[in-house]
Amino acid sequence: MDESQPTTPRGRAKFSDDESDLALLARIARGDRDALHEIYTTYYHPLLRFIYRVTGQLELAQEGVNDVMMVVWNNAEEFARRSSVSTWIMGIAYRKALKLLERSRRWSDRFASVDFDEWIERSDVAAEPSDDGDLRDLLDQAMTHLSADHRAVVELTYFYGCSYEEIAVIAGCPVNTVKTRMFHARAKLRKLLPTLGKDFPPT
Amino acid sequence: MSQPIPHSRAFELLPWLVNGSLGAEERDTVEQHVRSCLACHRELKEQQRLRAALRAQPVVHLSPQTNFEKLARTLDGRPALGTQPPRRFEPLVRFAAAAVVAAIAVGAVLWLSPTRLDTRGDYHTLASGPAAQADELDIVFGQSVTQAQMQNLLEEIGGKIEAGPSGVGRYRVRIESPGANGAQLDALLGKLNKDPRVRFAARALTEETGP
Repeated sequence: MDESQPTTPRGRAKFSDDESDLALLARIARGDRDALHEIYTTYYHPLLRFIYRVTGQLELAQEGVNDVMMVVWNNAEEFARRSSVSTWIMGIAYRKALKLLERSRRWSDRFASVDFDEWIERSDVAAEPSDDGDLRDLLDQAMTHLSADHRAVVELTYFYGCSYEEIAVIAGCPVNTVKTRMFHARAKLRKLLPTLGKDFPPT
Repeated sequence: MSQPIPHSRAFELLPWLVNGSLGAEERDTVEQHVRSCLACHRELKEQQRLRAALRAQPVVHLSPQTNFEKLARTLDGRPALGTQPPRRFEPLVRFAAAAVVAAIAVGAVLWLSPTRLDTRGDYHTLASGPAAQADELDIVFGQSVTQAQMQNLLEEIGGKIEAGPSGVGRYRVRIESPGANGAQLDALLGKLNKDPRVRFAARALTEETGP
């Protein structure tokens, strides 16, 4: 079996039902705008969060959702069922998010006056969280210091509950790359949040 | 009982044991390893805590409708409500189409008439009206653009804000490069419309850009 093309249902993202998604795609392929509206509403918040977590900018995330749905509208007829609909859509979102981030960086670099690598060494990311709310804030900050690829893998694993096979399809890479990215992301988060392993009350 | 797996392999699979997405066989082997490995046991606790913290982060809640309408307008190439127009408007649409045909016919008659009125130059639309000044542009900056970034951009293009922002955030900007011709301004507009700091840029219209 091609390990980058999982077909098992256990790897599906957990925010939609594939049968109803397939029915909506069939209607979209016939130009049904109501079906597009329905799938848009279902996927809006999952996509918005995912693209926001990758790009770090809400405005880009909103733009990204529409970019993704434009692809869905134009390509619904060509959906080949090699994965679930949600995996296909998240894969489109992944590529769009990286493109938007690249575009955003091209111009923000021209105005960058802060050396973030230097800043991270002196930052308070590794400060002691006093409670879980603090940990969430610190985690939020720490996530911004991961690469976009690593952020995406962490987010897809822990927020969306995706299997590593499904993430491989979404990111268009081998499963071993997914495991390696996650491994390095965990190592960096551990460095940024050394208190993660200490005993806190369970969340 | 499942076959033992190497420590490194179990260690890298822990996140997917935590999120419950491992297949039954893989899950059993990793769980079996974790029971006898202190390092993996501690890492499992850390990853559980990481997952809980990540999932507890607030989700941005915005109404999808406004954004969908934007997409619908893009699909249509014109303002749209986001869904197909209800059939009850069909008679109205047919009437409007007939009115347009009639207006074109009347226009053609007037155009061919030797006594036609010459109204050229008295009329323009917001989209296609003549420029107020040859060297003035209307610019809408991106929402996240800071004042310093705006100022940098203005310095780059040799521009100075003459008026604005309007209700929709439009600024009238005068290009102060002496001798700038139409082709140079068009090239500048092309550059501005590709600039991520700019949402929209066009030749200035004749109306005042009031606040």
